[in-house]
Amino acid sequence: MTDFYNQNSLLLNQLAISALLALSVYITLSAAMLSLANAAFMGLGAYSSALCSQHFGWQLLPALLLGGLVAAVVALPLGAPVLRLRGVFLAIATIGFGEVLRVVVTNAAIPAFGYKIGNIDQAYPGGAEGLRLSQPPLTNGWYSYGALLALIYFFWRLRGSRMGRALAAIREDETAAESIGVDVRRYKLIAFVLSAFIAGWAGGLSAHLYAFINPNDFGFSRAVDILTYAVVGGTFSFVGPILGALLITSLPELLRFLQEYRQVFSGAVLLLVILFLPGGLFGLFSKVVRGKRTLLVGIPPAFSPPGLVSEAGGTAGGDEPASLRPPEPLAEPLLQISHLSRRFGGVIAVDDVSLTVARGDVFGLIGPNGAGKTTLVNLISGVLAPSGGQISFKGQVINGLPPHRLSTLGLARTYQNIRLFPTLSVLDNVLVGLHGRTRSNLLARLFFSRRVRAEEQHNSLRAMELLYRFGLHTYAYEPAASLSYGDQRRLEMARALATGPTMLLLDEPAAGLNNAETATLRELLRQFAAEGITILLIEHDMPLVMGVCDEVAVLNFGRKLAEDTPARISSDPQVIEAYLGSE
Amino acid sequence: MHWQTFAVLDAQQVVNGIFLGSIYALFALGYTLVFGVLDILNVAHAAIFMVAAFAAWWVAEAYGQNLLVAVLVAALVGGLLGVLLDRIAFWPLRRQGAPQLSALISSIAVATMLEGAALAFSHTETKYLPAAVVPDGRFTLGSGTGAVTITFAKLVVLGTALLGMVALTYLVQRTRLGREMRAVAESPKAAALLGINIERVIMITFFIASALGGVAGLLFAVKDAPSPVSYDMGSKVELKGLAVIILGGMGSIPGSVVGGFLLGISEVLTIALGASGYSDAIPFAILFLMLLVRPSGLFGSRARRAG
Repeated sequence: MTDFYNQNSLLLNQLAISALLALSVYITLSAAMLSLANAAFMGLGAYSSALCSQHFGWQLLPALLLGGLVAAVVALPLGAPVLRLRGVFLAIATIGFGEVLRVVVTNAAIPAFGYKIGNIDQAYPGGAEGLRLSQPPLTNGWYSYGALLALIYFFWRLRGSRMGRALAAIREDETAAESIGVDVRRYKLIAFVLSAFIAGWAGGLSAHLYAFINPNDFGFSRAVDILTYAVVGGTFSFVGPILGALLITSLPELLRFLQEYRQVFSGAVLLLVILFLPGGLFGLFSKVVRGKRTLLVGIPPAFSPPGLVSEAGGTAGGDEPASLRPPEPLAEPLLQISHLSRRFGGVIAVDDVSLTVARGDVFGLIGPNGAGKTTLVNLISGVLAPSGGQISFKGQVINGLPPHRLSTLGLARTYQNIRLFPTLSVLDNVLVGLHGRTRSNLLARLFFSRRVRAEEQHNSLRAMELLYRFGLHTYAYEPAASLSYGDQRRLEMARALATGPTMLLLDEPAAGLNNAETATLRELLRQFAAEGITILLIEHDMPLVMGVCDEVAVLNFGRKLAEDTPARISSDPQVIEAYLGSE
Repeated sequence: MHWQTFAVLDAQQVVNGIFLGSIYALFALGYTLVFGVLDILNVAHAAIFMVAAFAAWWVAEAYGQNLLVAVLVAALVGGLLGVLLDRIAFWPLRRQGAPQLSALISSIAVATMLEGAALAFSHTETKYLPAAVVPDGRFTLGSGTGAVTITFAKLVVLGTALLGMVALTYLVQRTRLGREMRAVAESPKAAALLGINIERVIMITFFIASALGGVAGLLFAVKDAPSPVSYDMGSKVELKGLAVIILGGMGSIPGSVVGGFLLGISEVLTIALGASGYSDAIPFAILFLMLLVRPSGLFGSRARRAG
């Protein structure tokens, strides 16, 4: 066994390094970011760790740690602005970063960091000829496989943790994740910095493995190789990238007979995978072996519906039901909008709208299509910034606050086009809703603390109770996408309720529902109102609006036409002409 | 850095920058066209650039030694390759409704294959276009330090590039096909509802974009004696092409033109200022700044594509 290792230690270490790199890309991919900067971070790690071990004479472990840290520290200021860019622009920015690094390293010279190898001076960072290290090549596998095993453990514990669910939610639907309280920017940055650290560590390993650093090793083509490992292996789970890395890195050995055609072959493999195997090779494997898709599922709770839920919605556990907040002072109006407007270039979507929603009200917002209702809701929920005017919630001005902050303040919304997390289970969708009301449990999960287990059981219980209330508990472990349309709408509402809102913004919740389903919806809305949740409702279904709302405002062409009780609105001639039409 | 040379950035260098920039611009046109109409970053564009140059070399070696023939071959091969690329790499994903990321990776895969094929075909040797293909002769304008020497080759390059840009602009702005392309760029669904044959428009877009890229490849080889063609010439330009379209604005034709010339001149400027090693990094520094400050580029529109 040790003989085998000793003879093949170079290849085995290469495999581990490739796996580490693939995992570093996987972290960012699982937060829906295509970052091609990992090759550059690898380079940063390589050069920094070499500096430590050669010039400063450090031991290998601290040198590797520093390499990773340098990459992570650079990733922080780089990530903050760059992560705002969407998809393809993000990828391009990261490519640009890589090229700049390569050029700088090839051209710069820092005499103070030079060192001697034997009798020969080695300049730092060594320019185009590369940087030679004075110690013999690394043969020890602990640093590479140790890191790999630690990372595998980390990913294993990440699944089912609050952060893991948050990342999965971001990947599925960033906007929805943000509106239920997930701080998307922060998580993306965490993922980016973590991925940089791992790539930096791998870079340090690589430098010491070959006792040489070639600056051209960290450019665009390297970044593409790393991406290929992850994609070919499959990105649904962390196992995929490891598999892809192992396979592709051992390929040159296996395919030596192809000689000059190796590149054509590897390109062809990538093409075939991307066209026909969206889940990568591991996706194929797991489908064959297990027969169903892997889902991210929390710890299954011990749940039996009748015994645990009382009529008032309280839980046997004793603390407040998932949907109810502690009562707050009833002083001011809950939501106040004054002279709010929003332009898109020359189009004024919302034009000087003012309205007030009192606490406990069910407020209806009606108007023809294109009147600006959804834009108004987008303004309130922080998805859009106002061009003018002010919005205050609970007496606090909320203009420009990001959606996840509003969620913490007690504002929740549903979307006209239903924004669920389709491949996550129904239960997980609701659990993400609890994100803002739970604490991070990742650290505790890494150490298997007993307290964490109990907390997770408790959270799952709260989620299950919500599901039961909406009649969805039997689907708890099904992927959300498999639900019927009406059930999906209810799931979205259950998720919104999980955030413990003071106010619910519902954007056309009755769209696509038949009469029976609409009646159920009416009942639900009345229940919410009875529990003290304020509701702002956009709807076209007039009977529903008239039957459930205390106040109704009518919008047309971005302006508010009228605001009154349903009865008076329906007999207002202006409203009838603009919207209700003649019967 | 020598500050004295700043004042002596002579006309010759500016002219060189313009010639270089015209190729970057022509190359970027194809890139930006595909992105504008399809919202895809076609990484294989640079590979087509290279393969078309090889095709022109092969035809020149075997048959005619004529520049015009070479340009036509490069355009034709480039265009057909572009159409084939779409059929193989993008169309299946379009049908599946796959995310944008998949199309990007798919183009990377095809680029790798094309480069690998060229590598195997040329056995990593650099080929050279026969001398008769490249026009001979040069002339000099002015005299003394302000003198500018212009080779016919470079003039042909500039002329062809300008012709390509003008033709494309005319096509997009003044013809019915151009209108259809712009409609698909705005909203494929709406365009389809209006009776436009989307797939046909896409196919033609790829043909034109890749033909331009192919011609750019040939001109890139022609511009410097002894006209080298190698399997890795694409990689020299692909990242710069990216910088051009970000600078100019993705999807904008005038943006590519202006961006291309700006890049060519700034590259020459960097070399003239004595920092030639860093000249490769300049496009990226610009790209980076652009993405942070104004991602839509100099001429790009901020509006996102509708569904």
